Amino acid sequence: MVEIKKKDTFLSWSKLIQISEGQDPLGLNLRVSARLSSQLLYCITSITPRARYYSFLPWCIADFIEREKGKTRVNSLRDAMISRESMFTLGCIAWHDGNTCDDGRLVGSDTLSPLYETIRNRRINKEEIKYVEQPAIDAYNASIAGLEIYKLELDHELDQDEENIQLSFDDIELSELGTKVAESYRESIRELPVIQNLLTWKTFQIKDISEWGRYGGLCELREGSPPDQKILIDLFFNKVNLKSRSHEFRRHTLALLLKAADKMSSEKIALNENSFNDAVYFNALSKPSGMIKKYLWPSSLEDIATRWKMFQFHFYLSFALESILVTVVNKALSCGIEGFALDELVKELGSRSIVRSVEQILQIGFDKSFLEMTPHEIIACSGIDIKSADRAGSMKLDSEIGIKHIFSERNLHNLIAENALYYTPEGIILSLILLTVVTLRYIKWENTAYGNWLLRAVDDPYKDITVPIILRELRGNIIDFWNTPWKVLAPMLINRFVVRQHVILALDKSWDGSRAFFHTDQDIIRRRKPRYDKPTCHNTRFMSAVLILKDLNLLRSDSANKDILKVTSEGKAILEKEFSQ
Amino acid sequence: MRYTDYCELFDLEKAETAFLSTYEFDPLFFEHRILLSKALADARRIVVFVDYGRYMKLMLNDEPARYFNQRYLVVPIKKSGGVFHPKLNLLLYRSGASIFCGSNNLTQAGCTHNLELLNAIHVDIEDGKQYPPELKLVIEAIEFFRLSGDLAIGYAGTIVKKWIEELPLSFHWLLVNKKEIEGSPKVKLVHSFKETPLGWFENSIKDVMPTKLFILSPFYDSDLKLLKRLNKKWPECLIEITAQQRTSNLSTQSLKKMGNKIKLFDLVGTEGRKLHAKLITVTVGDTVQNLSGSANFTTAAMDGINIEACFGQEIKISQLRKLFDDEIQRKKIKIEDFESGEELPPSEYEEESAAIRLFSSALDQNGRLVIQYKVNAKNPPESMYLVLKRFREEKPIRSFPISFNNSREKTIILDENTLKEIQGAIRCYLIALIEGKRITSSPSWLVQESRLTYEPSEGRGETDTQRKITETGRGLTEHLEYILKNEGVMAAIEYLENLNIRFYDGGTIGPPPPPPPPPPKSRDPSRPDDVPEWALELSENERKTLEQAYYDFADRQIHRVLQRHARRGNINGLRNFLDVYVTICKMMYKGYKEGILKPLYAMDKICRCVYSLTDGHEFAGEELGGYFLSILDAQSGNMPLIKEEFLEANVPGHLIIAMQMAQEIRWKNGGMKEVGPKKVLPKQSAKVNQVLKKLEITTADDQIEKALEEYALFDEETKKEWLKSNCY
Repeated sequence: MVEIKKKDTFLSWSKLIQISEGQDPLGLNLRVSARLSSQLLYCITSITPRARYYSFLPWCIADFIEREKGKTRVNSLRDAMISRESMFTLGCIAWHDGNTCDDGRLVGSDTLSPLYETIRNRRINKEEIKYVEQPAIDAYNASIAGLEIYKLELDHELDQDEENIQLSFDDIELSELGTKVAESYRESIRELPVIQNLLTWKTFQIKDISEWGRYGGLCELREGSPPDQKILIDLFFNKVNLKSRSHEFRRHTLALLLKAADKMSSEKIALNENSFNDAVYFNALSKPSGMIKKYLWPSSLEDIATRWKMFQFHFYLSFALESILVTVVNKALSCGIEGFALDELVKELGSRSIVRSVEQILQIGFDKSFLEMTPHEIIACSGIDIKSADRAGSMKLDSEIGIKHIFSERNLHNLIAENALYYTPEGIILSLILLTVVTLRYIKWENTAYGNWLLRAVDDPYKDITVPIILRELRGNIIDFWNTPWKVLAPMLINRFVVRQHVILALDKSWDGSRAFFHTDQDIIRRRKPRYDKPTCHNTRFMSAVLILKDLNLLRSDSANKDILKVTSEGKAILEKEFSQ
Repeated sequence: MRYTDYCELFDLEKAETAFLSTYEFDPLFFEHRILLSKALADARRIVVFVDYGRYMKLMLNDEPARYFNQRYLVVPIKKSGGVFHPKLNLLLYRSGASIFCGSNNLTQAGCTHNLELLNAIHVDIEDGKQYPPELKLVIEAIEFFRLSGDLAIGYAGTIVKKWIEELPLSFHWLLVNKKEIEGSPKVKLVHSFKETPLGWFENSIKDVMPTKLFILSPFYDSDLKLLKRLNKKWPECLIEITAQQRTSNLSTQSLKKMGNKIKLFDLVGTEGRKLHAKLITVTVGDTVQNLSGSANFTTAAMDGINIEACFGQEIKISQLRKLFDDEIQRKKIKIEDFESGEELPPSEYEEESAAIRLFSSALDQNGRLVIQYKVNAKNPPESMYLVLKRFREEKPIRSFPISFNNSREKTIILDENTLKEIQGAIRCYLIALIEGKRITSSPSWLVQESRLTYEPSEGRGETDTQRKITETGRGLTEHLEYILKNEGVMAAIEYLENLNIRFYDGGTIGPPPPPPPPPPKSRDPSRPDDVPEWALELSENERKTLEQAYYDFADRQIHRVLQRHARRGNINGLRNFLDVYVTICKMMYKGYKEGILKPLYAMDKICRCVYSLTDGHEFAGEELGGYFLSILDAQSGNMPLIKEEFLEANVPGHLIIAMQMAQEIRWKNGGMKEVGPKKVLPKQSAKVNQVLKKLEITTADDQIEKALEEYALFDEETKKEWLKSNCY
């Protein structure tokens, strides 16, 4: 052992602790947002968007157990799965003549597609195609486990934090349900020579393997009625009676999406994250012509739609705070080593030119400097007088500030995003207004089952920020925030929920805070990381859910306009069943 | 030029008492990094002296500090006319001390990013030997803190003065008369209570005219008053100023008027770091007198308007040159080309005109809550309450009416129930109804006198047990069980939240770690009928909170000890690594057996330990480093050495036992039952096999037995079973 003696140090420069990379700088996405969406779309994550993997992967396990386990030298389930998945991917690409499946997300296709031309006309050695380095099972494993396809005897629901747990699949056995799912996929491909000779063929030709893509590929699940389609529908719509409440939430969310698509397609509206948000948050359908149509969800979907509304409250709040963070980081960048004081940034918000610019953006006139005005006075400039931030005020805001209103969350969000105002003081002003509007609108939900549901996504109020937390702290510090001038509100909000929040999260993730984009010293904010370009918050699971519905042949793109999603007859039947319940 | 990681100065030796001083204080950074250091993690008393103005500013921020005035005492110091600006730190060990005197504040920027100058002196006291001359510095530093305590606002000052008086009880060598210590220390502690920094220079050079004045400082008088004065006093003296463009507030207009004796240098190669270092030297003949520490080159600092602390010493010119011989260099710049910064030097705090102010709140050892406050409103409050809130809680735990009678102090006697409620950091507020408006004061962190002296042994068994736990983790599960049985679940959670096992890798200074103590006996948790009574009595909520505390503790140790070893790759840290590794694995396995932990989580933490010891792992955006890999790298693949060390520390045995535990948990919770536990978790097993294969180690029963002994968890039957099932 080497023993180093304590050494006196004189006139030594201090060492720079280098920045380390990190994501989700305010903890808005990976904490509250992920907790909410992991309930609403349980087992459908941003990286598990293709339904067929949910039957293909269990089949791999079953096939391994039946044909290989203890019989061949391949003794690892993982190796066996990678081998099958590689063949499967190649089969899909071969069936699409070198392209990936419709809607993509075919694992391994990025590597294989470019190689396809070189192997399409010759015999291929099986050993050549071990290209799936990060097999699909790595992404889908936790979702499949959550759907109780494995014999796991889970004593609790897997939460989003548990996605980090190394669910080792090498030791997995299929449950009764899992066996049924695997069997249904087997039905689709059982007769194919490539499947029958999977273990014996050392070489093969593209035409041999393309049949696998034809009958067992990702997008081929949509064609006709392959045997695994029904059981997968049952699985996602929880007709298999899985007990956890989140399975029911997922089922209702999928029904909600079907209903949204049905309604929207009849109005020629594309179902996407934005139109879905409008429908749940504002109960509004926004037509391409710009017309807005009021839409009320059927009573059986009201509950889930309201939960998504809560999700959307958090989204708008996240967007506002992250936009301000972008400005703070970039301001620190532009100020270089000098850094800047938060007071300076706030002062800029009061400049006449900035206010004029905001007036132009909003096409509204302010009576005085932004900093001298209160949220009450700002909203009053649009002719709506909401005197107090209480339930009555919240109800009034909810009824008078609809989707098209200049101060609606959607409009403020779009103005910031579309004009890339993140780097500007104007962006901060709009974000601050957005923050107070979303907070006041939320008040009417406070202490309701839905408001409490949103609040329950908070584990630690110092790290998990969402609307009720903002409201709590505003009330605790300012009492009547609605009638407090921005010169008081703005520094408090930016300091607590952006600057300090970022520092708190950075220290939480690395003990020396080396993940911080900036640091504060004697009220001066100085950069550490060069850039942070734009807010990253969004509904990460939304597109996966839509894709799953498409794969299950419940949604289909309109032939005239691919963006418009129509509900298929099978989808309509599902919806009918949902409503009849 | 050598660079020093400031935080690592706190990782050298375990301190008993620490006095730290800073102008600006960031409690979040302090709690996340410095409080967890080896020096402070188990220190009996920790005091942080902070400038009053910055303290008041800090109060306005709702900082999620968890240990403020509960684990460490923060003392606001008000210096009339100036600021409290020293960065002098004193760590007192059982037989020695360290004194740090630099330019950095206790903030993240100061400790990790700014360009600062650091000085550190270590003093070893050996019984029976002559006291080293540097002991004088220790005594002077204590005197400095005592005098600072005289300027303290609130009850914290009373506590700190009492603590300083008690110091000789713990450190008998402090009783020595300074005059009896022979020799002169390497440096002189120059502080404003004794002499001004400028006065020290004048005394050092007597009446001789210096040939050169060297100034490195981020801040200057806006009119360069001090510089002009010295220029006038020493007209023949060459003045070299090294500053940083865009940050140093150097008035070039004033500078230009000062004649040709001024040379200006800009700093280059600072990698975007802000200059915050302060160094002033005066050359007379061949000798250079230097002063470095907290004093900027301003009148307020150098004339003693502020309270500053610096080290003064005579150095060689070559030492000074070394500062700029590497990445950081200075480049001559024309005065007119220099772009000055706008940030001003620290200045006296101007009291804000809040309607109500709560300056201080303290709970003394007799259960008396004393507050100091001020009401500035024209009309007296219609009503006023003092409310106490716990960390993380929204609603106050207690409210007390405060009758307004022009008094600025109020004492409340707390009853036993209220005292029990006071756990963790507590914030106090005054809420008053004034002219119909509800007004809330900025918060004050409650000083909790009885908790501020950390006695690890109090009510929790022997001191030795505690020491062993913090040194090695040994005995933790048993001690935890003791707390759960005797003090309840909340005490166990609090204990776990505050516990950190020390990091040691031999690359740090201090005695080598003690040999592993004999493991305490524990019942065999693998017997299913042996779930302890306390576990059966837990409510669902208590079980969940305790469970989370287990996970948090494990994650914290993996993060701050195992992963740190994995980054550093110092083979000397192997013993410490294994101590922490065994502690986590044992705790997870036992916790799982007792039904507190979820199987998947318990298994996951054990697997993380295995990853950390082998070649690491990457998943879901998180990367864990592997200690074996980093050792391999650090030792350039010196396999014989690594093999020898790994065998001596019984790494094979520990890897196998951890895998057996994880596999058993996994197997019993959905694994492949027909193949037995040894076949589950093949990926993790492959990692273990890879290490063993690389080192050409074949496992033997005695290794497993030895490792099992260290766990002290299993009876003979289980041991036999595990030996039999070894598949490595």
